[in-house]
Amino acid sequence: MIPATFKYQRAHSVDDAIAALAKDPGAKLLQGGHSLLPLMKLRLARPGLVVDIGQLAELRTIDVKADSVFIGAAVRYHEIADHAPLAQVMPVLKKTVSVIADPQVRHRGTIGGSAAHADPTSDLAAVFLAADARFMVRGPGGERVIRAADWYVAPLITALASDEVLLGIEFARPSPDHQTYLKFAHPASGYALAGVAALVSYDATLHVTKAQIAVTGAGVLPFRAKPAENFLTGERLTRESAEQAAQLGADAGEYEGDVQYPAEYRKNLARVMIRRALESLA
Amino acid sequence: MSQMVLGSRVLRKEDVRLVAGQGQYTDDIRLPGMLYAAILRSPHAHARIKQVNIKAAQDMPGVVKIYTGADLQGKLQSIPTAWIPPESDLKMVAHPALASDKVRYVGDGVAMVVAHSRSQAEDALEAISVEYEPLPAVHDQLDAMKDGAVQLHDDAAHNVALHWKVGTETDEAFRTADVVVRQTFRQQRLIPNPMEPRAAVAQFNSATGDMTVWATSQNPHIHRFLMSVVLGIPEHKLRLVAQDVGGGFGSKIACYPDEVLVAYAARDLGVPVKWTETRAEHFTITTHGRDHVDEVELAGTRDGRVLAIRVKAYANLGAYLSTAGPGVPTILFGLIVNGAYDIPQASTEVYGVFTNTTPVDAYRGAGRPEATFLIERIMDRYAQEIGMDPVQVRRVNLLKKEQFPFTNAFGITYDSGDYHRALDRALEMLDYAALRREQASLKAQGKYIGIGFSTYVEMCGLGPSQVAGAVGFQGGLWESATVRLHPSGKATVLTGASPHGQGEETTFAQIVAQRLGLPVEDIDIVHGDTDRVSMGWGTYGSRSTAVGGGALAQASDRILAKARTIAAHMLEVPEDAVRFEEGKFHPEGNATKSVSIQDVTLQAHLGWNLPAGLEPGMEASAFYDPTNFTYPFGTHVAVVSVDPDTGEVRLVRYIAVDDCGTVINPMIVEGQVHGGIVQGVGQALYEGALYDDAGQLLTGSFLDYAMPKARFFPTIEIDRTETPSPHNPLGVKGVGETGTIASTPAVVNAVMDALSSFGVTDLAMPLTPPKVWAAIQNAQSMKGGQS
Ligand SMILES: Cc1cc2nc3c(=O)[nH]c(=O)nc-3n(C[C@H](O)[C@H](O)[C@H](O)COP(=O)(O)OP(=O)(O)OC[C@H]3O[C@@H](n4cnc5c(N)ncnc54)[C@H](O)[C@@H]3O)c2cc1C
Repeated sequence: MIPATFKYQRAHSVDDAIAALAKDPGAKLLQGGHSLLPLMKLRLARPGLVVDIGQLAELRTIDVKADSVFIGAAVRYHEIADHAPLAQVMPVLKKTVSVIADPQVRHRGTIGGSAAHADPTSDLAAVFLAADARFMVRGPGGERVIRAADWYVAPLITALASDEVLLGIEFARPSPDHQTYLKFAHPASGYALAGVAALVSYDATLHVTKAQIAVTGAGVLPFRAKPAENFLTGERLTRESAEQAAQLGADAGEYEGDVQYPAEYRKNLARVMIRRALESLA
Repeated sequence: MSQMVLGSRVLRKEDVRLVAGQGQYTDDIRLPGMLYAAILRSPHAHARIKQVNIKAAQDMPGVVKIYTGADLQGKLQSIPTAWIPPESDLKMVAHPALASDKVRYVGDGVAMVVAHSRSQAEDALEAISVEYEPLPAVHDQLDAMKDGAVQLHDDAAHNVALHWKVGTETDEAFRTADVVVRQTFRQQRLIPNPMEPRAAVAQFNSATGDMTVWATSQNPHIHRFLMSVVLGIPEHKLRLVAQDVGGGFGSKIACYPDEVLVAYAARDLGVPVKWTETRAEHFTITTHGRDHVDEVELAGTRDGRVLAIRVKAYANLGAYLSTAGPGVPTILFGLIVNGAYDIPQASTEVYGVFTNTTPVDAYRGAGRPEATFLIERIMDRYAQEIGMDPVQVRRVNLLKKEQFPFTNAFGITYDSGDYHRALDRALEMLDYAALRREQASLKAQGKYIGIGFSTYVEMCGLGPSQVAGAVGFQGGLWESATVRLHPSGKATVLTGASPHGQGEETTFAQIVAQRLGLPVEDIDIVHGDTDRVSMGWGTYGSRSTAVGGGALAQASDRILAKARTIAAHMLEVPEDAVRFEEGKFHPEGNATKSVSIQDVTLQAHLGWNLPAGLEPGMEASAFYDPTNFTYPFGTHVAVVSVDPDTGEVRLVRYIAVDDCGTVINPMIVEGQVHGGIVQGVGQALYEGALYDDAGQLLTGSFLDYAMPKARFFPTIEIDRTETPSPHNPLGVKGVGETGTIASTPAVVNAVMDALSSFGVTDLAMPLTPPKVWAAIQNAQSMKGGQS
């Protein structure tokens, strides 16, 4: 519980941070510290240099534009929950961050930290995937955009290069009319054993015009439940169609069990939670 | 006013300092020149140590000294056990503070670094290289007893640490009974996790030879006694301080290697040394609880009368014998497996087994939750077997009011009670008939709820000392108290009990306040310091108020007797004509002329005008040894819902009707009941240590080990009956453990009631969502297969 020796540096700008990363490939960026510091205390991570970018104003903006929404990487969960215009246009974000851990964690943890840490049970991963988030990053060679579908490479590994900084996350507007995030929490950690983000639009007769569904926690990686979306589109949203979609959606995941939660249980949970998320939107 | 003190909701005096961060926990101790220790722990569950190389580590920055097991050989006695159950053939195996030849569980200490800072000590640990020769490991007690299993200790064949039998003949009953129900239960291993991890600080004065150890202890005098033996420091030169302790639940009873090592280093180096456990260490080195396999048999009639119960228990004791380890699954378990029922024949046989796991010791309830679980579960299985309502089976067998004092088949005598009344009250709160109807109608909609009962009794308030001796506890179980009134009339009260979260600084003040007519705020309770309190046996087994409170009452009564003599002298009336009310003495029939206890105390200290021959001063001590255990009882009812889609169990309602005898502070009693229930439900639904075949703990952090959380619980519905215990002057019975003892089987019975629709009759705890879901899936696929 005592980290190995490290140096701490507060970056003055994103470019300053990029320069620090370039100089020391072992360096780690720090925002809320709620994933990095626990790992350092267990000595599972032992960076020689920690570069703090959590206070940088350029990473802390929320911008609700006509055709998109931008959230800076260092924006904290509670700031997302408290941002009224954001809740208006993308209610699923508030729903999701409100079920992450406890108030203490929500006052330190950041959207970008969660994205960059890429814990396969993180709640926001489901939203990023379901909502086709775009990850804006900058490195020594300039800026680029990484699509959510390409972001999660492996547990705790993203498409971000080690000398790049995540600037923020962008969502296209308008996003579907009906949105929810439903979580079955691990009784020990409180992380998602299965978390489902569902964004659905339907017409007056409940016929689905658009469905975007993703699952976090249950699988080896967070995944998009495309077969469920394809099935639902054009269907009426009912208990039966939700169940069928859920079955197809759960099939899209890849599962691995642990000593307490076997693979088949995780898959079942993905199915049940997809169905319940969809039912809650009807 | 003072008449109302006992039984009123006085706010906890200790909370002011604890909530304000002004408590003094062991880790808060900072002494000039203090060094920090860190302990290198075995990553293997079982291995021979070939070589320990400390060279590189010695050169690390800040390192003062490194000790290995070899360095300490012959310098320290073995870490002792303090409970030797009679006729159990207990194998008192050696437990060195640091291993030198073999490590026997993951976490076993191998070396200790002392450095100028904690991080330097931790850094140096990484530079020590140990060459191990891994050996096969065994973590399960049944596997450990098998032929050919790897042996942990040379002198414990089949890894059997103890074998103990108690009870009556039962064969006849089992041969002739209408019904015999058999069931094997696993009561899984739990990890205590008090909020404050363990810690120790030691300081040695080489000129005087005085050693002071601050440590997280539930029983400083026992700690001092054991450490004095291990370290070879006489008790009058050893001071143990445990001022504020952030919970223990049994895990801070034991004398561990860690505090011994710290004291050793402080003496060796001549500077203070501190060690603080990390949470990760806590999971692997601080004693665990439970871990039983129990084969239970019940013989009964078709109409619901239990004739006999027979239990064979296999208790996992871990790698070494912890301080109270051998006593928990024997004495504290085997003598009460008949529970609250009138069962004429009963026997218990226990094997205590060594395995390559963390040592097991007392955990809230210690033995009695295990006993209560198996009797309450087997009663439900029996009810099912004969097609009787679980409440009815209990009614038939519960002891009746007229039967007290009642001596059970094991020879222990239950003090007092009205078990049926507690059951009736719980049923009334529940509205049982209506709930059964609701259950049926929900089931028709594919929704499953279950109702579970636990009509428990437990034995606590440990002593008396004679019994302690008879059952092999290597100590006394009386308690001491000193009441000291200062000239101003304020009181300092010393107790040998050692509260660590239970609130006794408040309840003890209430006891003294009530007896002496003093305001509660004028009374300070001092505990947890062997230099201030002459002797005591500490806090565990719900004994503090029953025994420590008894001592307080006696000491207070002695004060009062002396004060009355002085008051009579001051009032110039004969002593038997003096009345004492609300802190004032006055002549019989004349309330206008009076002297207060404060006036009397001042006179006692001044000594200007005392009755002839009376000593000045106002202080009294008492050493109180009770005549028996106390037996709290009650009925707990759990109502659960089971989600068949996810297997998730939710507690919908929880009703607790407890009888802990006289209630001193209802708020504190309710707090104890709440916390106890939550811990018991933790075992039923969430908690459980898991090891892999190599003996690695798989649930070594809060990410994997599920502690119960507030959000898992409905409002707990509490009521109580009050049957004073005839065994102590206060009539109290103890309430520190009842919740934990009662709740586990209530919840499991409720889940099994819900699952009875699927034909599931038993599942091993914890009843986690995947386990419940799989059981339902199995049941359904079997049904599908049949049709
Ligand atoms: C008790 C507890 C409970 C939790 N429960 C949950 C839960 O229920 N659900 C959930 O989803 N999460 C949970 N978390 C994790 C929490 O959400 C973390 O805050 C989050 O995962 C990381 O955000 P952070 O700002 O703290 O990141 P940090 O810890 O500061 O950083 C995390 C990682 O991201 C990197 N990084 C940070 N910022 C950038 C950037 N701009 N560009 C590139 N790399 C960057 C860091 O180098 C580091 O590797 C919990 C955490 C704790 C401590």
